[in-house]
Amino acid sequence: MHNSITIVLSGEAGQGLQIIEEFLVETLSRETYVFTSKEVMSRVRGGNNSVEIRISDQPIHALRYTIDALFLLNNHALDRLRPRLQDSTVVYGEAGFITDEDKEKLSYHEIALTELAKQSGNRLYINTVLFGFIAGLLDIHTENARDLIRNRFIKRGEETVAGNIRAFELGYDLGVNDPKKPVRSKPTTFTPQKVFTGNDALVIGALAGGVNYLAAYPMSPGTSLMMSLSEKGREHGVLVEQAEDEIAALNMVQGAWYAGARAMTTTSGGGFALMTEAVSLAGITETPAVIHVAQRPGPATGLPTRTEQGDLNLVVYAGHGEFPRVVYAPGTIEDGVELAARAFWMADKYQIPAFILSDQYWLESMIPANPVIPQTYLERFVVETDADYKRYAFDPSGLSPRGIPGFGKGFVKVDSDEHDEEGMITESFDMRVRMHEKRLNKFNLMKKDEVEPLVFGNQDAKNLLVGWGSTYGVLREWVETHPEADTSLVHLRQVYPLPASLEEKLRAAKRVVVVENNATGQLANLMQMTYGMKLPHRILKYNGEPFHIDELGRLIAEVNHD
Amino acid sequence: MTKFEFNHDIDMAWCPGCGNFPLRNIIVKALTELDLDPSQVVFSSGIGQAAKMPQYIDASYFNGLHGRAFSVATAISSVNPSLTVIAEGGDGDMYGEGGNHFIHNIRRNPNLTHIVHNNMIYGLTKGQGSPTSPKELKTTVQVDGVYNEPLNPMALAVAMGATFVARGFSGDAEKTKELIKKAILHKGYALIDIFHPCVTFNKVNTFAWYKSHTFWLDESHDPTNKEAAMKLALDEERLACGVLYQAEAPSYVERHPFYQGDLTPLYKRERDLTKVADLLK
Repeated sequence: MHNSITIVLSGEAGQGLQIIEEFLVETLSRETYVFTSKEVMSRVRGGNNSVEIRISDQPIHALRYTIDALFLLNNHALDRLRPRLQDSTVVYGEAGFITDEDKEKLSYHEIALTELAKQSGNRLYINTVLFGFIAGLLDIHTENARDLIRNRFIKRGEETVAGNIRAFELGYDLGVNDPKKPVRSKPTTFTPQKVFTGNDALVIGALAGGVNYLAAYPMSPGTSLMMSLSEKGREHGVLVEQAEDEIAALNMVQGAWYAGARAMTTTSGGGFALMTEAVSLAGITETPAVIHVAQRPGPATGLPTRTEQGDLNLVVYAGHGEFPRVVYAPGTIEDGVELAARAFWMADKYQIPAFILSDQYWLESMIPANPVIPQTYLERFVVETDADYKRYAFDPSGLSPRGIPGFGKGFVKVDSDEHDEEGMITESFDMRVRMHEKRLNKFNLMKKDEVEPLVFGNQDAKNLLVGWGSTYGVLREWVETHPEADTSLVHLRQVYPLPASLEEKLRAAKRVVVVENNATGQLANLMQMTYGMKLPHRILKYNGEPFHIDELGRLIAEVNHD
Repeated sequence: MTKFEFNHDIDMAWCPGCGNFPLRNIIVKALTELDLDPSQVVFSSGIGQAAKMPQYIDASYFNGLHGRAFSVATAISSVNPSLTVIAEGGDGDMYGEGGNHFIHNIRRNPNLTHIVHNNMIYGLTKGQGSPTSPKELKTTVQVDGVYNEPLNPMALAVAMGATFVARGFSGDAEKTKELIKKAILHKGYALIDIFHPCVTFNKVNTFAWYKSHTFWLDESHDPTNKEAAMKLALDEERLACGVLYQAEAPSYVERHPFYQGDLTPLYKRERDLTKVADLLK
């Protein structure tokens, strides 16, 4: 684990935590390494939510469980975070936010935020006072902060800008002189990077993949992508439709691809469960589909605002019958952009459903990154049809060239029944076998377009950690900071079909530990089944939280002790 | 051979005497008389005997899932507004399995024609009650007779503000053909519920029954009068055929902020990656 400072802001929904988070991340990311995420309750107002910001003089990619500085925004913000406090944790808040008993036990610093906000002109400026206070505490360059405040509030007039800048300064002066100020070591060399959420990455990637149609039904945490593409859609040309249910959503996506769009849907496990019949439809009709499944803990409604990697099985096996598909699970911002774009290309090229499997934690974390816009995924595979066009022709390439209605002289006949080359319903056993084998053979064709796992650490290491998706950051940081553990990381970005190179890596390691944010080890089971090998060493977490860097070490030690 | 007419030697999947046969001829004639280019016509169908219709007409089709043809059709017409789109299926497909899509796509007013074969019974699954089965009809499941209220698609569509609500009868070929032509020419969503007999499973709502229970609207009915349309729709004794209701309203592609008057299909549009790259700044 790299040296770092973890600060947590704890308040309730509607208190403006997100604005403070944005301000802090924006300013901090210009001068140091930062990683931030949030955890919220499933409600619009009230409850207890927290934002965690971890900063370091080294690149960091994960959250830490223990807190250095905790900021309470109300009098019921402490309890849920109590287990994360250590003796050295400093707790900040206004008078009366904690009990007298807690005051005895904790290192508590009263800060009169409301009073300072009033002094600056309006008690509504309280979040800016707190931003200033933390900026002072961490010695953040103030000119960046001032710009940010100006940009944020200029719409509300100069008076609001001036008031907020006063609020920031009052907070800053208090923070910079705080006696319990943490000691922050600054990076020796640092190039600022823009900060992205996982959701931002998918938006950019989908646009780079040519998305021009989205139909979806809201379900956390998959909804953000729908909202972002609605907003960006105006500028980039994305037709967004809110469907009446998830069944309609994926059927609309199928209709849209059939008629020539590059279409996607976004949902979470429960919504995806409703889509599974249409996944099968995509399988037999060989109509492409891009499906974003943002995982949260199930079964059923589960923990709506929390995180889990519990839907790998669902996505890999969804849909009746047998047909090919590809499943990508981004673990970095760069991969979020790359894989989202690639999903459209793969779906189009192989006429298959392509999945982007993310989770709440990755989607909502804010991470500095340097993604690039992939330039090749807009490649088109649609053909102009001739009068004698046959949608399901047996082509030497193994793929039936895909036409769309209205482009060319031919008819594009697509059928969910087993069909002949033309697309007419057939009950010929022979035709069934030929069509079924043509579809399943795409598994073989797709091999040349596999996405290799990310590998990190010494390739000759004895021990191997294996993970997928959002656990990349925490696993990488652990491997990076534990050279003595003789451990490397293989991290899957394409989780289905498993990439061919994986088996050798698994067999070469003396000991393989699979780390997953679920209870049953779904990837481990998939690898066992595929390779006929036993993978008994697993680190599994399924309480609704992501892995923290400081708990991972303990869990690895435990599993190595088995 | 006329356009849209099927030139294959094919064993059609319908029972002898099925109302789908005359209906197929009616649809082919309507499309031919409108002089549409078959390569610009797309059918979207689901599952059921009615949903097999596109198999026997020469045009493009997406024969998808039970109940979902309307969703697929809406998407097709939204991403390529120059196509003539027809969603077709039976009463169970469109009003039962697809009931939610029926309601919500009316709200969208997509530019398409929705042909529902209404024989008040399930055919392909062998004779169960459908959403439009009349009470007391004995079926293979409702063995002592249907006890739930039937769904009234005409009243529902008028109430939902559908912009074209019509009823036909496959036994009245000429009039039903004209109705289909009107529906295709209508801007926005057009529902035609078409009565026709299921000779195998519905022994009550027969050809003769439809003949004696239906009548065709004449010029005395003003289809823009919603109240009059609703009154006709709610009359379950004398079943009105013809255009019950028609209204002028912006279609989906006219009201969706995406198009802004430029109806270029999505497949002809390009993505500007330099603009996407601005999102990295």
